[in-house]
Formats: sequence, structure tokens, C-alpha cells
Amino acid sequence: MTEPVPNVVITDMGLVTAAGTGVDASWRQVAAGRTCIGPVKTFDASVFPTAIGAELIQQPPARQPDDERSVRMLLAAGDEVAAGLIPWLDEHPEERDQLGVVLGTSQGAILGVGDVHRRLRRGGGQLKESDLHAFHTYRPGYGTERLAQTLGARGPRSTVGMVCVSSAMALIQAVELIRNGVVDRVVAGGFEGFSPFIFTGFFCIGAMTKTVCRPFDQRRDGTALGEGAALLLLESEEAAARRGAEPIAVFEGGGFAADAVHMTAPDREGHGLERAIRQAFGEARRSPDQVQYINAHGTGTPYNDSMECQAFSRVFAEAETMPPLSSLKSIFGHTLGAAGCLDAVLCMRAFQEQALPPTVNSGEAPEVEYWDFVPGKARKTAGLDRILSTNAAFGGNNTALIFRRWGA
Amino acid sequence: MTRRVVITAVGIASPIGIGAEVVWNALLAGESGLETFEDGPLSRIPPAAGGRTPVPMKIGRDYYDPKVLRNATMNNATILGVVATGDCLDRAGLVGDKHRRIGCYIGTEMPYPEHAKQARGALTLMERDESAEAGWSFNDERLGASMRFQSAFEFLRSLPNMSASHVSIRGGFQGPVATFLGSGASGIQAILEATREIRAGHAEGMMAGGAWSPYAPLYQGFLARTGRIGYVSGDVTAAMRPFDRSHIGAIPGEAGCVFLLEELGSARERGATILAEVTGGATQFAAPGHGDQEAACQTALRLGIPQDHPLDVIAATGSGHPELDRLEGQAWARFLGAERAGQLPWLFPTASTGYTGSAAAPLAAAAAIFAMRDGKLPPTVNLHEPDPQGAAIVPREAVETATIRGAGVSAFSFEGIHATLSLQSWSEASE
Repeated sequence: MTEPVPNVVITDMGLVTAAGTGVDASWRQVAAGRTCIGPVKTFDASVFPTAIGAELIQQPPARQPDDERSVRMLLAAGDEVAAGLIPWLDEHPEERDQLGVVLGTSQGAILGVGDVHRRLRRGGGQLKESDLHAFHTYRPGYGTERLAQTLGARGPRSTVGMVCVSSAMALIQAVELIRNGVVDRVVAGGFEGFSPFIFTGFFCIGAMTKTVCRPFDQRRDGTALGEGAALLLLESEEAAARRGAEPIAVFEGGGFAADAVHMTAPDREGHGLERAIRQAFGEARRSPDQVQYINAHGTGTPYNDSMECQAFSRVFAEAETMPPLSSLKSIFGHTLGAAGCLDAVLCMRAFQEQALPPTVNSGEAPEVEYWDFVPGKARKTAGLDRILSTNAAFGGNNTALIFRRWGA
Repeated sequence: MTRRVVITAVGIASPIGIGAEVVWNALLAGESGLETFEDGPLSRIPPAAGGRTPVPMKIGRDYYDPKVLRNATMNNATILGVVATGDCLDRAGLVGDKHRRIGCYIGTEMPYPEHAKQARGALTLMERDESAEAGWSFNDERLGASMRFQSAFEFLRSLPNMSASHVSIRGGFQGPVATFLGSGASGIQAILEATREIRAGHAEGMMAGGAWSPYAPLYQGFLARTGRIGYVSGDVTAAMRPFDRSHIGAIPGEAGCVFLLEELGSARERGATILAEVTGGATQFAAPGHGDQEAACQTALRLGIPQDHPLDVIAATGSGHPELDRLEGQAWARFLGAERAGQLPWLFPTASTGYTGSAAAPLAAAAAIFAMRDGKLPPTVNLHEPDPQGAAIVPREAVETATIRGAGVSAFSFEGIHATLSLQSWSEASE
């Protein structure tokens, strides 16, 4: 007889975005429909035709002298997600073996190693002891190790490098670890700093907006970058009950599928995303008519948003109505390795607030005329019990997550 | 009932050859792919030697589709992963362009080796400026030069998901796709996670393994400073000496090694040749530089190698670094008992290829699979007198006839992530 698969619940969250540290700071922007995107300030990018982004200027304090900005944000988000857990772990130290950490990132702590490289090129000198630290921090597993050490986690650690779906995949992996009985709880999510390297890269591949980021609007011409760290505490339902934690939501299903078409362009018709969504529904044993809101990837690039709409239209054709959908990219910019979990954190808050996050800057010329892209501000609603959240990445990788409000 | 996962094909690109059968024959012959770098930037950075894997254009054209300019978006590790995938697909006999129920998981390192070289344009845009609001400023004068240096393709080369994504496109794999980062154990981690995906019913097949290349000047310099690198004097082909008392550190090499894992029923249905079954595996973690590495390795072996598993060969990482070699040797000695661990034949292709990071343990696993298939064992290259503080491995010449029913694979890493994998020969497993 096989063991029953544990229900995985979300009991806490941590978030740092350009809006500031803490979920509250970000939700205030969402509620007001206010964007964090503005002129780039962390470096002089005036030579670019359009240089906008969502940067966190007042960075959380460094814990170690050379902590790079993405690490600072990650550890600050870690403080928030584990605020309730740490005191309990202090009383139950044996439970630290049952705490894993799974993170996603695109470039990790890139700024430190950039500094080393520039100095070497200029001086032609030798690597110094301090340079080793910069390389160590740029190792993709570094952020995961630092967070695990900070939390005192002694369970599995894993780092996923799948660019824009990194943290969504980290959530799926974390759920698998719990469902398979490897550990009882996992802190999972992602982190990404705002860096000239990524900025220049997105500019070079033509993915950056020349105007404003307006997902699902026919006038859209590209995305804007952001930065942040987003974390969820996932636990088996039994483990959450053991420490008296009230869940926010249940992770019902996850799916991921590849296009296998092209390195930068998605499958134009969104077949990969469609498969990921259908997998998630299959795992959740739910149907599209049971979803009240879609939190879409919605980068604001022409191909991505079009592809997503086509996938949604096929999947939700079997539902009576198309649920409202929106994208947070026009508020926080595209946070790459943090994006999937940033969306998930704010979906949790949407459950709590019973409010639909808006798509800022859009609405006048919607991609699909009769769909509700929630323009303007967050909209109060009732009966928001189930959310589908989607993400897509370069290389043709797609994820879909389904959450159910606890108690629904 | 647990879905059984079998290995139906192997693909390899390594310093001792491209193509799994070529590599296996080179291992049986005790060949070395290590060379001294006579010129270029790598010749000025220790160890100024290693195992490079040049990919001939003929093979390149066979394995990439130049119409979508994929080559330009590949770093060295990605190229090796793609070439290994091409080799694996050639052997697998898969029919069709797209495979919805097949995914791919590739273990690799962050692609900063190439990043440092190729993306110098973007990086030189950054200037440390303490007076600036966030400590950085932007050097306008360098913009022109930098934009020449950085192209869209170079940016894409630096993205960590490129390895798995290219493999997915190369093979038409539309199932789960992911790159696992950050440790020398990531190739075996990828195989374990892929096995889990098949067992969970998320895929019918997975291409999984490791791809790694350290070859860029800055990364070589970094490795040299870590103290993990061996300094070569004399014959470079004798310099990589895993588990020998004279081991001097890792001589790096680059390689890609992937396996096609399939659910047993699916493999049988399409008439695939089954090489081996994945019977177990585990990953354990310890903070880098901390003393609990040994316990983590022990636990990985205990959880990953079933008690009743036939174990006739040990496929080891064999980093060549005294500390990691001892950790690996002692872990096996404690797990099996020193006498038995010493008596079992050990496989460590790193002695021939150099330490190939995420691909090192997958290469050892591949050698074990071929040893099970052919009943042959390659010689223990460069092992003359085992490190008395490690495992008492017995040096051997090539063995032409052996009965090998099962293998234990250890992927122990500098980063404190330790993975194990158990494999059973198909003739043994199917009974």
C-alpha cells in the first residue's frame, strides 16, 4: 500500500522589489496600480535610447562587507519568509534537517565578478584573495548556500538556472521534495539584481521597450527590467499543523513544458505553454472553469503576450467565461530569476485581500478585445479561490502553477 | 507500483574522443586526452594543461542547425552537451522530430567562463564609483567598443538555461527542461531528478547528464587560486592521478556526457536496446568547508545504494584533489568495509580526461554501463600506489572478462553537494 501524497501548503512569504522590502510595500504599489519603473539610476544609462527599469535604490543592509545587491535582497526576503519559522526552529532544532532551500536565478551575484574582470582588464594584474570571494558569490549556488546558512536549514539545497522560469521551477521542485517525503518544508523562490550586463543584453536582443512596458496592449513594444527576491515557505499540511501555522494557500498543481523551437522566440502559438497549463490542471485535478484569475507572465514583448493569449484562449475555451488576467511586469519590471515567485507571492496576497492585481499602462488597446486585463488599480472581488500563474523563458521553457486559497 | 527507469543510450564528447563507443574504447586502451597548452592565454595560467575537446566542424554541422544560428548562442559546455546529445540520439533510434513526453535535465556550472571572455563589452561598461548613488557609474566612452563586443548572441551564451534549452531544441524534447547548477555533482543530480520525473509520470523519457568546460582565462585563474588545481611538471598524461598517493590536484578537462532514460514499458514498446536500470540514488548536502562532508557522503551512499543491490564496480568522481579523493575513498571504505571497497574494481575516467566537473561522475557511470554490457574493465590509469589515507584501491591492467551485475556511482563535489546513483545491468535487472 502506498503512502498518501502530502498536501503542500504555503504558510509564509517574503518579498523585496523596487517598491521596497516586505510584501506590504509591494502590495501597496499593486493596490494603487502604481509602477516602480522609472529612469535607470544605479548606473548612467543615458546613452541608451530608452533607459528605464525598476530598481531598489535603498538596498537592504549588507550582512557581510562584500554582499552584492542580489544577495542583500535575498537575505532580506529570507528574514520575512522565516520570521515565524525561525523561533519555532530554535525550539525544535532537530527540524532543521527537514528544511530545504531551492532557489532560481538568472545571473546571481554578477556585479562583484564584473568588478574583478574590469580591474583585470585595466591593470592586467593577478587575481587577489578578495577576487576569489567575488567568484564564489557569483557561483549560482552561493545565494542558496547563504540563505540556507542564515535559516539554519540542513535539508536539500538546489539551484535552478532557467532564466525567467527559474523561481517557478524552484517552487515545483520544492513541492516535489515535500510530496516525495524528502523533507517537510522548503523555502523556495528566486532572486535577481539589476545589472548593466543584463540591461545591455536585453537591449541588444531587442526585448527592451522604447516607450513604456504595457503588457497585453496592442501598442506594446517590449519589456522593462526589474530586480528583487521572492520566497515562499512551503510545507506539508501536517508539518504546518505541527507548528501551528495557518496556511495561506494550497499548491494544487504545477506543469512545465518546452517548446523546442527557438532560443529566443517562443512557439508563436503558445503550444508549449498550453501543455504546461494542461499538466498543471491535470495534477491539480481541476478544470479551467474553476480558476477565477490568471496571473500571466505578460512581459510586454509582442511575441510573448500574443503567445500567452493564444494558449489561454485554447485552454479556457472549455470554460464558460474567460477569467480576468493581468501581468505585474508593468509595476515591478521583469525580475527574471525572481519573476515566477514574485508573481506567486502577490497571488498569495491577492487571496488574502480578495483583490485582482492590475495590468498598469494597458487597457486602451487590449490584445484581445473582450478579455478583462484588469486595467488601472487592483480590483476588489469576491470568491477568489483559485489562481493560475504562468511564466515563460528564453529557450522555450514554460511553467504553470495552480494555487487554491486555504479554506476554499 | 513504481515505474522502472532504464538507460537506453549514452552520448559522450570528451578529450579522449567524441562518441560513446569511441570513448569507451579509448578508456579500455588507457589513452589520455590531456595535453600541455603551448600558446594562448591558457598557457600562462596554471596548470597550462588539460583536456580539451575540439568539436570538428563536420560533427558540428551534423549536430547543430545553422539556420537558426544556434552555434553563436552556445558556450563550450553547451556545445559539448549538444554534441553528446547528438551522439546519444544517433544510438537511441528515436523516431520523429518532436517528443512531447521526453524532457532533458543537464547539470553544468554557471557559464561565466565564457561570460568573462565574451561579454567583456558589457562588463567594461561598469565603473565602480563610490560617489555615485548606488556605487556604480557608466562609462560613456566605452560604450562604442562595448557594443561591438557584446552581441545578442553573446548575451544568450551567458544565460544558464542555454545548456538544457539547446539540448531540448536539438532533440525536439518538449517535456520538462532544466539546467542544474552549482556543483560538480550537478550531472548526477540531473540524472536523479530526471529519474524522478519519469517515476512520477511527468515524462516517458529524459535526456540527462552533465556538460562542463572550464576553458576561459579568467575562470582558469580563479580555479588556480582555489588550490584545487594540480601544477604539472613533466609528462602531462601522467599528471592526473586520482586516488594515488602522489595526487597533486585536479587537471581540468571539458566534456559532455548524457543518457537517455526511459520508462521501462515505453522503452520496450519502441523496441529500444536496454543497457541498464537505475535502481537508486540520493543527494546529500553539507556546507562547503565544514566538517560534516563525511557524514553527508555516508548518508548519500546509504540512501542511494540499496542493501540488496549487486555491487561489482565503483564508478567514482576521482577529482585528483587529495582532500576530495580521500573523502570519496573513505566514504566507500566505511560504507562497504575497507577490504571490500579495496577489492572492488574502481572506474575513474578523470585520469584520462581530466576533471570534467559536472560531467565527471556521468562519465564514470557511462564507463560502468559499458563495463556491465561488455564484461570488460579499463585499466586504472596513473594509479600506482593508493593514497594510504584514502581507499586501498588495487591498481589493475585492462580486464577482458568480468561479470559486472551492478555499479555504484559517487559524485562528491568541492561545493558540499554529494550525490550517488546505483545502476544494475539489464541482464541482471530483467530477471
